[in-house]
Amino acid sequence: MTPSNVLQLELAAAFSSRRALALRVGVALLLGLPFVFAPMPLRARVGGLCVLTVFVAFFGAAVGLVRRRAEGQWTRLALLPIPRGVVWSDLLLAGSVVDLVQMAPALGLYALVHSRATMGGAVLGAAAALCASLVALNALGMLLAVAVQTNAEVHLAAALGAGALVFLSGLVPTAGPLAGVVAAASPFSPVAWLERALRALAADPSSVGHYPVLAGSMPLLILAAWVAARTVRGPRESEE
Amino acid sequence: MVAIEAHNLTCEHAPGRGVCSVSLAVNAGECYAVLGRNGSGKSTLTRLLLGLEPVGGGSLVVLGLPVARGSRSHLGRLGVCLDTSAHWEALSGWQNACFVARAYGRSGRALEGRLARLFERAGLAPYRDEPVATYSFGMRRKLALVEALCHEPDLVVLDEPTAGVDEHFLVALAELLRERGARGQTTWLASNDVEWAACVASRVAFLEAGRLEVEGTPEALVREVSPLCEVHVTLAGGVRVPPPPLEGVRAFSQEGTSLRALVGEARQLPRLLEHVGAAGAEVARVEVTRATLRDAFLLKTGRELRP
Repeated sequence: MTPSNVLQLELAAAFSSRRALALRVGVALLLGLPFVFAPMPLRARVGGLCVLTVFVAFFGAAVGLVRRRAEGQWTRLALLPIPRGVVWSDLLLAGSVVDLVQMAPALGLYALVHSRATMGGAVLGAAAALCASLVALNALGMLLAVAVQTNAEVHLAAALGAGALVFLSGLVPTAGPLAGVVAAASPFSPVAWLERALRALAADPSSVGHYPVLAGSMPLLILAAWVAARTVRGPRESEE
Repeated sequence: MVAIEAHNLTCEHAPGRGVCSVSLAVNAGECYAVLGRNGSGKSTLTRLLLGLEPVGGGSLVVLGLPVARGSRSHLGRLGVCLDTSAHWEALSGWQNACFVARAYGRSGRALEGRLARLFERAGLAPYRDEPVATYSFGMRRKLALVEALCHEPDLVVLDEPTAGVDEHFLVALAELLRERGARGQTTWLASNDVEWAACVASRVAFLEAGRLEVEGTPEALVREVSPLCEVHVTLAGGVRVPPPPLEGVRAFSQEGTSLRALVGEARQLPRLLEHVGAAGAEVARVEVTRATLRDAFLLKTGRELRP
């Protein structure tokens, strides 16, 4: 495959090596397996998978982008006559797709083992929440990468950021004035979207109706259409 | 037509670092080389052309378009090879080059043919489908140069293009740049490889501490140092050679088997050797030395430009 745009380039690079792909998926699966099979409360099970998703998507995006800036890839892309918005949206989409592939086996196993949902809407809702979470977490990771300068800084900032995201999503039980902050922030947290979707899938399928499946599935469809269009897109101009 | 025009261009990172009041004009079809030591401001000047640095003062116009930090309108007509060559390591050299060419709107058989020729001339053809991760430093530099040239840009900007690449490719690259010049395409070259720059550049500029000290054709700058060639002839036997009565031979001396002559032009050499032969002497070795662009740099800036 000869890539024609940044999305194709990124996906081709991510999936070109079977070993690298197996490592990516294998490590995520290995870290996720205890939260699928070990006996523990549902809240801890879902919380563990959400934290794993945060580290794969948010931490991975931030650290990966800073490393690539140090290697000169940002400058390389900046000097090509491709609009910056297209470059960044392609990087975002590519990062989200790769993370989806990485997290799909662990979360798929969770759904197979623990889902009590019988409605397609619940599964669709969970998939939409996962995609929305991955895109949002990647976007936050990219913003962090832009804000920091060095590799050391990004590791520190991304670890702090991941902790803040997990805390504000309500995964950790809180009391007192902090509980109010968490309650106010969690509706905007992509980790909270995923956590609610995963809990709904396992515990109470009827609770699926409490969060907007349709609203979630529409961005999912738009995202899928956009990714598909960019992935199959040929060169911008034909024969010279 | 002027391809690059700078008036009092300034971009100082710190006092004495960066570029200070540089004015220059590069015509279309020229190969313009900026030579200077490390830290003299070559890369800053190059990055200014690309819109990667803030213009602190003065003005800069590239291909008829004003350029400031973040300017992108001129990028579609540029080919760029900076001193760092970033690639997508997991992909092959061919995939990387195709992506770059397609980003410039090139595609089809014409592109593939041109890329294949460039890969051949760079000696990368046998490795074109191998991942860049397996490439050596020199191969990566060659790939970056292929990517800069593959879409036939109006202006190609090369920062230290000779770093890490072999002599064979340097000859091929010099040919490619001359061909570009013949087609009216412009080349900007920032380097401290004086010898190679003297071979390819139609004009050179010396940059020292961010200031443009002097510019001109390599020949004119060398002539300013000394228009004379020094000829050193080693004789096989101890024959006394009389001073040659030749026009253009400015000085002549002999010590034992060693003859030294200063001549105006190298073409005087055959007549000088005929004279030595006519005196009954057998020539064992001949060396011709003339001033170089490196000497011109020393003369103009007071500092030596080491290889």
